[in-house]
Amino acid sequence: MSGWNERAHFWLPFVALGLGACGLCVRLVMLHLDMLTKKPKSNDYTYVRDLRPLRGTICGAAGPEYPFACSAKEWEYRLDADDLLTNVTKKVMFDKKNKIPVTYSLASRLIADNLDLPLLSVMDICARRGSGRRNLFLATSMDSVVHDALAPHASVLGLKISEKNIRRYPQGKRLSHVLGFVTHNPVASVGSAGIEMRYETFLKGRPGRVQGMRTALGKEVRIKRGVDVDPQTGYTVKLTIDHNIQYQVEKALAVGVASNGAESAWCIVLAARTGAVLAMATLPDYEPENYSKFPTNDMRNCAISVNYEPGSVMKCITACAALNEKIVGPDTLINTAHNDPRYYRLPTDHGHKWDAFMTVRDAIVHSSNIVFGKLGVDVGPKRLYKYMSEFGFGHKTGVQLPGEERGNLPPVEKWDKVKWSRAPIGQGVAVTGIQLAAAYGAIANDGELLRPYIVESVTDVDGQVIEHHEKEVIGHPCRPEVAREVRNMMLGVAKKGGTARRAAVRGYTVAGKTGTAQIAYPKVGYSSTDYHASFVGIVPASRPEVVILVTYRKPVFCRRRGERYEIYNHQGGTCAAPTFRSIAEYTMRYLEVEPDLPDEIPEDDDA
Amino acid sequence: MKRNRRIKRQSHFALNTMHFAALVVSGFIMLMAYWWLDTRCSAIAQEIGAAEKGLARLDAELERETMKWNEMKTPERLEIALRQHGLDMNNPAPEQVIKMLPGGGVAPRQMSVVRAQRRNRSEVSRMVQDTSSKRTIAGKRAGKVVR
Repeated sequence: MSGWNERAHFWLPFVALGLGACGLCVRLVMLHLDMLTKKPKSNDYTYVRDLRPLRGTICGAAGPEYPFACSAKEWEYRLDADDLLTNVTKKVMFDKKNKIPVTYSLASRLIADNLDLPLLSVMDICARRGSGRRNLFLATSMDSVVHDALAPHASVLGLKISEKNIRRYPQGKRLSHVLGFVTHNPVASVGSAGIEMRYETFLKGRPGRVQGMRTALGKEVRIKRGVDVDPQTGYTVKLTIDHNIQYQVEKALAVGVASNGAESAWCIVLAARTGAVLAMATLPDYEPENYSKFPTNDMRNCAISVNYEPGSVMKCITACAALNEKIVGPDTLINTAHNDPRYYRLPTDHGHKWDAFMTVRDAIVHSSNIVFGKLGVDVGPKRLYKYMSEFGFGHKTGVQLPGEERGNLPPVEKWDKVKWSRAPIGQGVAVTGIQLAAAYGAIANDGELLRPYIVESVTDVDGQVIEHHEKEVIGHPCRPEVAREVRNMMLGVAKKGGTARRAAVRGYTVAGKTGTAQIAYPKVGYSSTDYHASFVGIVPASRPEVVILVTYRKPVFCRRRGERYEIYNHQGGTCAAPTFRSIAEYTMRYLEVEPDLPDEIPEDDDA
Repeated sequence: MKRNRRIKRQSHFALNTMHFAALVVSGFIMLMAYWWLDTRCSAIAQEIGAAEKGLARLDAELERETMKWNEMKTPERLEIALRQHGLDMNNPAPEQVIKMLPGGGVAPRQMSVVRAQRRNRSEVSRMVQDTSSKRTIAGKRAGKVVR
């Protein structure tokens, strides 16, 4: 028995230690499995946070290094005046080391200096009483220096700093009508016009989500994170627009509008060989970042959404139809008599006195309404309608922009006899700028009608191409030799004796056509003072690279000079042609197109 | 015999107790190790969370700086900067451009050359003379434009 006692005394401490260790282990296991804590009611400590993605970039032909639209994060600074009042009353230390308490003047000065706000208005905000004092907007800023200066003192100053995604357009108003704008709401940013709207599905990205637990103090328990999905940035949309050409186009249009007092203007530069839109500009323009401050009319992309009568620019289409049908040749003589009994109510040539006969070539150079009225009747309304339709008029071109109009090409059954001679000269039919540019692109491209496109590709964040566009032939409205012949006839327009000498470009051949079309108003008829002045040109004519269309709406018709009024430059040749030249000169050098007139320097026109 | 059985019983009891103690101690050590690892995981998770926040902050900073840089590269800003530094440039007029041939020398029949010759630019005249003396078959086409 004494042996047993001895053994028991020896082993008892070990057993006690073992039991204690077991108890400790059991408690550790229970703690680890959360068996001791009370289950929180309705997930008090869980949280779900949706992460808003950054919107994709829209860039031009130069790539993402020169974006037209991009997203970033900025800080929004708001003030809780009640918090500041509490801190000031309790003399909370602003600088604990030097024992400086926070005061209204200190807070106002610090906020005003960093956020670049007027001191008096900040002081007024800080001292605000009454309702609406908890969440007062101060400013937004992307400057990390400002954030680093204010964030450490945010709680003392009553500042609420939140980070939010913003959409910025680094090039300002540039390309505003094509890009569109984005409207912001608490849930997401939504494209509401232009490419932002058209490619919303690609640009919006995919939101992320974080779901986990946090402590009673609000700090996340990282290891308890259950759902962790990163937000995916939106795709990159690459346009065919060249930002340098776009800049020059907008600059030239602004100069033109300032000089001729037009109500609005638009310009399209199209690559002749591919149909890519190199530039598209409309004035007046607006700022996409502050779109709400501009009238809605300014946001209209006139290049694709304004239907207007083109006037004499339609004559080249009529010439293509007549030559393609072999009714006439370039040097066929046409009687210029207005009162020809074979034709019903021909248009006039506004007092111009021609020779008795004029070739088709000269008719283009001098833009004779009588000759083309007769040609149109000779072609016949059905065939003319067919050619106009095949050149793309009356249909949408399919350019990747919302709000495109289809123009107005009335069915041939509704053409009265007057229209037989008016439609050939661009009256009674309505077109859009992009249709005109594409039609002249067919003339430039030896009779191949190409679909204009403005979006080159859409790529995801990994660089994989999701969508790609390139040259697309949609029709052959005329034979190649006919297109070349018409282009040849158009050369005379920009030379001496033509209607657009001011369109001549040094060192390059220009094939173009002017158009001065009266604007028709409902129940009033054609205005005698309001015009659409256009010029569309192909340069260089010998091996076309670009097609440029310039249109001014309602340039000033007349101006007062002393006691009398004089007709101002409201015509295509005086209004739009100089803008065309300015744009063409830059574009030819920028694209490094070799001159095809190295030994000839056209005479300058000083008018 | 009885003594031998007693000794055997004693040693058997001692061995069983030793096994039990060893089991308990090893179990305790393993649980301690598990607990230590779990604590380390939590600490590392917190570090990961802090690093994620740091990365997000740097990404946002990069986006902001990229945007500021993009705004500085616009054509208007570049034009203003060039003007401020007196570096305004214009494109040359056609008569200021002399086209050169791939094999060297001046391309023939250029108005710019004729005008330059009229102004007695000796250098141009010498180049034209050099070209006419050593013209090659490749010189038929106009070469690279030199500005």
